Amino acid sequence: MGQAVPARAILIVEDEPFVRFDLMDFFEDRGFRVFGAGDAEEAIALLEADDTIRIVFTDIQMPGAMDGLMLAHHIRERWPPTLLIVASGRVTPRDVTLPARAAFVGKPFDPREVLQEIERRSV
Amino acid sequence: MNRTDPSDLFSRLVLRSLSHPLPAVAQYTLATVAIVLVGAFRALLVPDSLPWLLFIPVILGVSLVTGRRAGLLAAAVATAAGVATIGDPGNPTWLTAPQGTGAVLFFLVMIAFVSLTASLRQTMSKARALNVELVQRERYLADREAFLSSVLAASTDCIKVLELDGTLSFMSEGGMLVMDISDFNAVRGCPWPDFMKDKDVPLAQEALAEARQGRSFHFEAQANTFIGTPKHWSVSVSPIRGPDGQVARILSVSRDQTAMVEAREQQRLLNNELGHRLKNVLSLVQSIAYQTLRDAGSLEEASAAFSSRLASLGRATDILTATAWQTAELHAVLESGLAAASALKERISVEGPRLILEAQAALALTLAVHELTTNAIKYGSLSVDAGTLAIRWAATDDGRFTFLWKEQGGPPVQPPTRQGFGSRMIERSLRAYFQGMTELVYDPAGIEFRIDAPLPAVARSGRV
Repeated sequence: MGQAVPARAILIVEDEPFVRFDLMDFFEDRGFRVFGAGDAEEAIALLEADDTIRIVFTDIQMPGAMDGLMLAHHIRERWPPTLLIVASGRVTPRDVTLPARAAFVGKPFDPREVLQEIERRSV
Repeated sequence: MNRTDPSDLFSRLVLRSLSHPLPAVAQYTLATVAIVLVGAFRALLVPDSLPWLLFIPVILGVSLVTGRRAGLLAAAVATAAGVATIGDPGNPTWLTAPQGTGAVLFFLVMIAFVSLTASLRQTMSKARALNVELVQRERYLADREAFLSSVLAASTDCIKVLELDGTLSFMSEGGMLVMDISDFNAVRGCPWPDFMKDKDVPLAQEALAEARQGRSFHFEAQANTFIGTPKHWSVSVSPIRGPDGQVARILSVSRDQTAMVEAREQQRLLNNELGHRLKNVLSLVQSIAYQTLRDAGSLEEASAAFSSRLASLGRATDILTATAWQTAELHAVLESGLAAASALKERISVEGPRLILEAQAALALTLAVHELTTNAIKYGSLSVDAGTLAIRWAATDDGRFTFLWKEQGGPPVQPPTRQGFGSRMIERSLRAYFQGMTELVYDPAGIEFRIDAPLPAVARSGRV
């Protein structure tokens, strides 16, 4: 599908592999090129290796030195045009400072809503 | 009690006669006998002198010890005895005129003495009664004070009395204990609201204002003890009225509720944590649902597979709840994953050391084992009577975890035409959870599944 335009690439950063693979499947089924990362370090490595990734979805709660929120800020600074979606089951947008132009979704969420958010912000 | 126990013999005798009064007959007999004895003594030993003198102490003694009536009797008997012993039988009037005048004067003076002495006796009696009452009152007050002190001391509340300006004038023993105060003088006169944390000072001031108006006030506040230990208090402030009904002082009772507040906070944190975990589990369930529906042949098949996967997830939840969602032991994980084959236990051999898994890995392995078990029962070695299943794992000395699932004796295995939920779940998810190698081999002799992963990623507290 969508041969005329090159497929959009999305990076899913989520430490729970089952949920990560499921989201990857969801977006793959809808014509995206998908990448998955279990932590911020892996995510940054993927972004550095492939500059076609313009959409990043990240969970806030993640193990490691850098959590999802710090990762989102880092991406906003380093790859400013990236479309950012931040998710959490623990905090609300009121509790944290999101990067500019980042969307927030509370977990659990309907992946379709994330897709709609991406479509809206891609226009 | 000393006050009612005078030291001199005389007073003691009088007091004893007051507390143990003789019957009237005995009093009169005593008076008469004493006078007669003294009269006889005088008549025999000193017949010619002192006709009256010796009677005086006896009459005084009798009236002091027995009172007015017996005293008057003694005076009369003494006068009669005197008259009888000093008279002259040759004298037609028995007594000479001076002797008669002396007898009359003696009697009159004795009446006056007896009256005086009896009054003295009455006064002593009243004094004694007052004394007894005073002592009883004192004892009652002392008992009451001891009782109130013991009640105050027994209380673990911090009970304080404040002056109207809010300064401390009393603190209970128990209160000093909970406030870490060893000497009350260190805080006497200090303004009580100053003990509160800054944010709670206005509450304490409001409480004082209410108490001064005669109303009680209750509030919760934070205050450090005297040595700086932070505590939470439940504080009740109420007016203490004087005899005129006006508010004279203020009572403040503070209860240390630190443990309760901390428990409440702990519970709040636990609730938040539980909410977070619940959302994580819901996300997992959502993924299982999507993955199940994604490759389902029919709605019926999807429904059955989904229900069975949820049941398996539920059993894994049971194991994790026991450790507050921290870890699970591998034997328990396998038991819940193998639940679908519980009727075929004699054909399944499970061997491996005790091993602790992290919660996420335990959940994933439970689901994977559930998929393998369901497949084995439907198509694999557990689908025929002769088939067996062996599960082995080891934690090697070079820090690796190896796991083997091996089916034997089942129908010849054919590789699946497409990857379903089970094999996807097993291959890619477990690989990520265990951060190692996973391999699902469709050996015609029987399905084999292997994990080879570094031990630290798997076992939290190592081998036992």
